[in-house]
Amino acid sequence: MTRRRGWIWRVTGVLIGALTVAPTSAWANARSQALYAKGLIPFHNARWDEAYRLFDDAVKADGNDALALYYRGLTAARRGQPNVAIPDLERAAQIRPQLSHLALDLGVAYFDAQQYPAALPWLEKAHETAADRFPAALFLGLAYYRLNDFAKAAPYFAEAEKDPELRATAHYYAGLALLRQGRESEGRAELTQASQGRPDSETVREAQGYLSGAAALRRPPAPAGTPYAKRWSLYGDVKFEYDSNVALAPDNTQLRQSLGIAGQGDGRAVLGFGGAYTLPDNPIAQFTASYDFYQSMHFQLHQFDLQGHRVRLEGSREQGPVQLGLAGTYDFYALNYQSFFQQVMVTPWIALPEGEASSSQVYYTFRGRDFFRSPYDPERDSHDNAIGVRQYGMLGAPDRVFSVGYQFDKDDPIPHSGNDFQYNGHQFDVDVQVPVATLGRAEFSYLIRLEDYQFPNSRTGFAKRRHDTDNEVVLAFARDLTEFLELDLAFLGDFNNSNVDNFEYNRQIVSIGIKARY
Amino acid sequence: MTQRRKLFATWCVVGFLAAALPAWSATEVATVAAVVGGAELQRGGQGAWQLATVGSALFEGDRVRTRQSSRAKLIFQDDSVVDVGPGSELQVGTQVFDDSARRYKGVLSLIGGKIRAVVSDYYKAPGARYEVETPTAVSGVRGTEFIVQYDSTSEYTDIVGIEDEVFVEGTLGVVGGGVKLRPRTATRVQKGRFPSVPRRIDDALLRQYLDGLEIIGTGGRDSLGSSHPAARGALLAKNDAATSLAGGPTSELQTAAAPTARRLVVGVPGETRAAQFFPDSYANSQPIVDYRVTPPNQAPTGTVKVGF
Repeated sequence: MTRRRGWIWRVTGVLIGALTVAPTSAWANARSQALYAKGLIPFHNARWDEAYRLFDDAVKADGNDALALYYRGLTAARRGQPNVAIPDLERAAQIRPQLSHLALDLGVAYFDAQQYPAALPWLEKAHETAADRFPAALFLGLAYYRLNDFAKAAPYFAEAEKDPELRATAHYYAGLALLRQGRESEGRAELTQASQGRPDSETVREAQGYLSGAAALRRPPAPAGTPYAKRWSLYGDVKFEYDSNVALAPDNTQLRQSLGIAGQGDGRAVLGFGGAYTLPDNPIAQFTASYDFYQSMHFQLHQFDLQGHRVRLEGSREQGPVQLGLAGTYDFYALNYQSFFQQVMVTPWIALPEGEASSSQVYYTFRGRDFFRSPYDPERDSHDNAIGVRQYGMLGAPDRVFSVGYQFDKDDPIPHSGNDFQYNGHQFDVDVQVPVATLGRAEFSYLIRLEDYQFPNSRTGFAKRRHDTDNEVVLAFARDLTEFLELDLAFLGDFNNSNVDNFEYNRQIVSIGIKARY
Repeated sequence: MTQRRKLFATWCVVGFLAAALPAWSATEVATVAAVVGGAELQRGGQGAWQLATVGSALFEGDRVRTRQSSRAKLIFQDDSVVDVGPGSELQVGTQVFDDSARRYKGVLSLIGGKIRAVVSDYYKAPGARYEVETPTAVSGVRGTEFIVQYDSTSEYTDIVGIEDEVFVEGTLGVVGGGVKLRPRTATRVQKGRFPSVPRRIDDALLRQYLDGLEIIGTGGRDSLGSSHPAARGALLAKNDAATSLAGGPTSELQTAAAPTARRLVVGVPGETRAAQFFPDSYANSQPIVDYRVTPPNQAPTGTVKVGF
């Protein structure tokens, strides 16, 4: 009887105790609260490891301390461990479902863990609260963007744009979504808005880089699986050029007269068009096929009108830390509308990136040339083997790039009658591309090439071998006029020094043109 | 004369060090762990108020005050936590924390407003004393948690027990008249009177007392959403670089290398820039007029000058 009464008292005591504690059960025990409060100080100062240890101790002191769980989760996420954060945040949400920002934080943690479908309900819940409406909208847009549901992403980005702090990011990703849908003009408009944000942010710099012309650079061979909005492209251009030495007349006046060259300078119109198609991504590599047409029409020296056709196939893939590539090119040229020569080039290459902003490349090129007419058929029919190295790098920004390279090549004419053209070549060049404020983009390129001919040259009565040193300077400027039109200016200075007067010449070409592209 | 100057300089240094010594010897007794909406502190209870931030150290005699819409959380050396409610002012009194001698004493003076104190287990030791004073009451605790609210206009103090027992006395200086509060009971101490008989409080009233005393986080941008790299304009993935979407149309300014925001990817090498810009110069690289006059591998007739 006494034992039974004791049991009743114990139950009663427990019930009373439970009722008494219930309203204050939101508070954790004193030890946990102290550790949590201590953890806030390193958390505030981004000392994540120290903060995590204190919050972890707080959770060990009271496993139901929602705030300790919440902040241990936030700290794990800050340490780049969203998968560690999620269980803590979920548990905190079970204990205190109304904790401010918790729904947003859970949604963001799921987003960071790339669990986009799981992120959506939490982000939608956060989106319903006034305090978290705009950041939730941004992450909803990003989650749908990651799920390739661009139509659902768009209104959320539009809503996030109302928050001044999120505006540039929302515009940027809205622009990306439009570009991926092939809506280029709308995408550019969004990127234009994005480019007006804080200049130190990556998205702003990237938007500016895209708008200032980095987009117009040749598309890099991207890793397999990289989605591109448009797999084909077309272009057409018209240019006017003045060439100071179309005929490569020698500097020596007497020699020039003896060759009957009265006027070697001329203007010309140049037409070009072409297109490219990138094959759909596959696990092996990325392939692009392209065709280019070229026609120059001189105003007076019609015999130098040049027509070119080029077909190119190129592919590349990433193989571990290196990038492998192979390109094959077929060129056909007609001079004065008569077949001139054809050539095949094959270039395998390998590149090794050093970090994010530089890369080294080694390549080999085989070139076979076949001339159709005199005076070069068959003397200049040849095989050329070249090996080269290049170093590429960014100059602090994606739209500022440079490259330097060295190449050795050996050109072997097939017939013995082509000994005049057999040489060993050494070539060094440097190239820099930079944006010019908001005006456009500019390029400077310098090349020096030494050609060491292997046999006594016929122009010297077979008395001496020919040695040429060629210096080439290229300056170019391009400016987007509209989304589809581009203004191009270019200059070439070619200064060929030779120990044989017949081959010593200067040539300058200036060019202005308009290119349409789609 | 020179020696006298040296002596004077030496005494200046000694004097300066002596003056600075008390400041050096002061021990930090608490730290600000959270500030919501802005709080201020005053060193030694006098002088100018300065901004209190997370990590600010507090010493004996320092005051902390909050605005009507702000709150602060303090963590003490003895692991006690004090949440300072809106529109409150608190002075840190004597703090003794000698764990080796098991001597613990914590005294706070609430000048106005309200606080919630979560007292550490050290104060369950015999002889330990934790007190919150107001102009009308002294609250001593052997328990864990309680609220003290002082209305300076009406000059009364409300003390609410949250957990364990709280002993409350008036400040009449007369022995006796104290009350013991159990959890969820409260007493009021009017100026010049003994504490009222403890009364039980309901949930609504408890919530009213607790209002403004819950401080979540540091008061800063703790949320992942507000401090996420995406919100700061960072690219979240390599494929998010707009330049990596650059497709199709090629410019005259095309290079074998094309950058993405995160890394540079190279393309096909081998052709010179002059060849790419000016096919006419590429295709006609030998003096064809000369070779038409005299074909290759045949010596021209007439005089030819050979340079060196």
